[in-house]
Amino acid sequence: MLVSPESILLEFVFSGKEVVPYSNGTTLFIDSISFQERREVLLFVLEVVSSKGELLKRNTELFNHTCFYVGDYLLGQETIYRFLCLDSYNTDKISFKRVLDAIPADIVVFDKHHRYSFANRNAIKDKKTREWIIGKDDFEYFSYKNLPKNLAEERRKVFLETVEERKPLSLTEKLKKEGFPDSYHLRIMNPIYESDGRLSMVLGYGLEITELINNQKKLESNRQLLSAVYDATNSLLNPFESLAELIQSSISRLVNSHLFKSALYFESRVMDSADEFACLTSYNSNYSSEQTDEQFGFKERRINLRKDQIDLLKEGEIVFGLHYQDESKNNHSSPNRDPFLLIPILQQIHLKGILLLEGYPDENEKDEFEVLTLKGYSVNLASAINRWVYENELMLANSELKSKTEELIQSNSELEKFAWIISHDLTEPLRTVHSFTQFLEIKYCDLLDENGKIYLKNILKGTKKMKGLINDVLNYSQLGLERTAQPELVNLNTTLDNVLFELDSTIRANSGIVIRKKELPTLRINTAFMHQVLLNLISNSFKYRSLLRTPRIEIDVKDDGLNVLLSVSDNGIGIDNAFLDKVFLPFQKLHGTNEYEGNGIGLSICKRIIEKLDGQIWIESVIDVGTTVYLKIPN
Amino acid sequence: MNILLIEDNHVEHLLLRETLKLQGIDARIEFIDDGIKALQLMRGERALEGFQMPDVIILDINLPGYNGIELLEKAQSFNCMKGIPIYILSNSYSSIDKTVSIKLGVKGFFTKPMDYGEYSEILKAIIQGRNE
Repeated sequence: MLVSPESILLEFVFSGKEVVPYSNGTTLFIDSISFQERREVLLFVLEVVSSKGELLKRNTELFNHTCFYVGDYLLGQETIYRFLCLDSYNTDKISFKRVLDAIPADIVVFDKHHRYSFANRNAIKDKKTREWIIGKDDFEYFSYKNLPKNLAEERRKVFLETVEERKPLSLTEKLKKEGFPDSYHLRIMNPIYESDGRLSMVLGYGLEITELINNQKKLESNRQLLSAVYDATNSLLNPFESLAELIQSSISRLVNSHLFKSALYFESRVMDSADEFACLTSYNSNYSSEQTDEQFGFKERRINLRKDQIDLLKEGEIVFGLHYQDESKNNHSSPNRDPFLLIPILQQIHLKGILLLEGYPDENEKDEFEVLTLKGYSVNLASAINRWVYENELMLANSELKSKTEELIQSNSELEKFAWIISHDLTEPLRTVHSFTQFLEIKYCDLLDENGKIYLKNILKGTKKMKGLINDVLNYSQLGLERTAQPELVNLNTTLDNVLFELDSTIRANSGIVIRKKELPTLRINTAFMHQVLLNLISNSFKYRSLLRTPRIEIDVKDDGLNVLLSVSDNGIGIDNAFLDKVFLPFQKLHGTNEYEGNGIGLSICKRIIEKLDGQIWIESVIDVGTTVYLKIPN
Repeated sequence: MNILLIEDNHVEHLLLRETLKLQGIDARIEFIDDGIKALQLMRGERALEGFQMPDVIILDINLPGYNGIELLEKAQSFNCMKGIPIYILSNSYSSIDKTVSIKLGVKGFFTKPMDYGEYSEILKAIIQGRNE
């Protein structure tokens, strides 16, 4: 019977008539004075008159001018809809009862004594009971239905409070029914008053909220699990002495959350075959984490799993089960009846271990969120285990390397000491042989024939050479012993002058030799060391001078702020570049003893000293052109 | 010149004596090979046995009885030792505190072992030091 309100409105707007009738006889009336004179806000008076001529509704509404004219007539439309609905309700006489029965909620009406005066179909499904209950209260109803009395008492309490406080109150009821899961119901009581303020009735309505409650519970348990897993994951970051301690500390946090009764970590005995697992560590809410399995009499725990379970675990899936046989317990006891779940700990593709959590709701109630959370935890646990194993191996290797290095340093230092002692102790008898041979030569030379004199000369030559060698070994080994040599501020110009003074006789013997030096810096080093280095280098330049030209030695310096680069250059015979590294080895000579004197220790001493100063030494040389030795010393 | 060598190694005695001879240095040399005898001499107790007070003393550090440093300390209090230059002859093992030794009146240090050439040098130095 509803006409399109749009057409009514359009007719109304464009006709500008005061009264717009429509087909079924209902009349829309507009107050034309308000319409014409008050431009900003229009007063819109609406009267709905039934076909029999009685006034059903008269209403005055304020309308927004712009809204009305610009064509946004939705507002008008809505208003007209509302009246039309009211009209149709009145004309069709739809009873409250029909509406209330149709509502998918329990609706009852109590009188002021909490007696039922109405119950809809949803509240009481059985028609006979629905009729029986009128005039009865909940105590009678509960005894009739054989329901617990305390529930009726609870309802009475809320009813009295509602009436007392003159406001709606609610209660949540948990109903148990044999063979069905628990259900939850929300009951609201709403007092309704007469116009003079007296209580007229109490409207009661109820909704089943089982799903809501279950979701809340699930949400709470998810939150608890997430928080426990967060704790358990966090604890993996701590340092631990042993792998068992690492795992125990983590899984104890899962058990402490009261979501699980106990947790056991089983380690695969045979890598990859993965059908035998032995318990590495366990945690039970019944005993403290301080106590070990041994103290509880578990010598060794093992689990044997079915092949299908193993296969699932190998794929990284969590396995749910109802009971398992704990072999460690004696055979008389029944198998563990607690539901459990198995979480695989994978190392790449290998099933490294299994985490068993006991007391978990069985598979029917498994929740995807929880499974994902636990999977995430298993990945973290696996990576922590891997990391621990890796770090432990690294630590072992490191400490091994450290002790090897220490051994090497120790043996090197002992070797140096040995070399020093041997060479030192040799000097005394050698000195005796040398000196007395000299006495023999001086005092008794005349008693010997020519042959005897040659023998004596050779003995002296040999002892002199041996003396030189022993002194060099002594010097070289002493460098290692003088670790504590204190560095001091040394003006290298002074050191160089001292060196040149020491070489004075050599320099004078080679008149015409040119020595050029730059102004040298002051360094924090050991004087004796630096003296030795410069002496050795300049001596070498003298020793290996070219006979073809006037010897020339240049001492240069460059300073980049970080390092001082000293160089000693000559125009001597040069070194074959193939031997540049070899010249630094102790007792390494490139020339025959007959050609050049020396034992080949000079440069190796320089290298040891410079390396002691954390510096570098290297040589650049061209055969028959000259040699430059560079010293790079930290400033 | 009277030189006293306090040294327990008889090779040193021989070497020093031979060096003196070969170098043609006009000097008498006395040897004492332990610290107790040396102390008696320093106190002047051995004079009756024909020992004369030396002009120069060459003192080893490692000695039986009193060691060289102990002897140096004791010599401080003997009047008869005043003005006699003492040279230390020691091997490079013994870590003698040079500062302490100089305070105790030491004139110089020589490191053993020394050969004929080196003994010649130090004798020259001693004679030069005596003349100054």
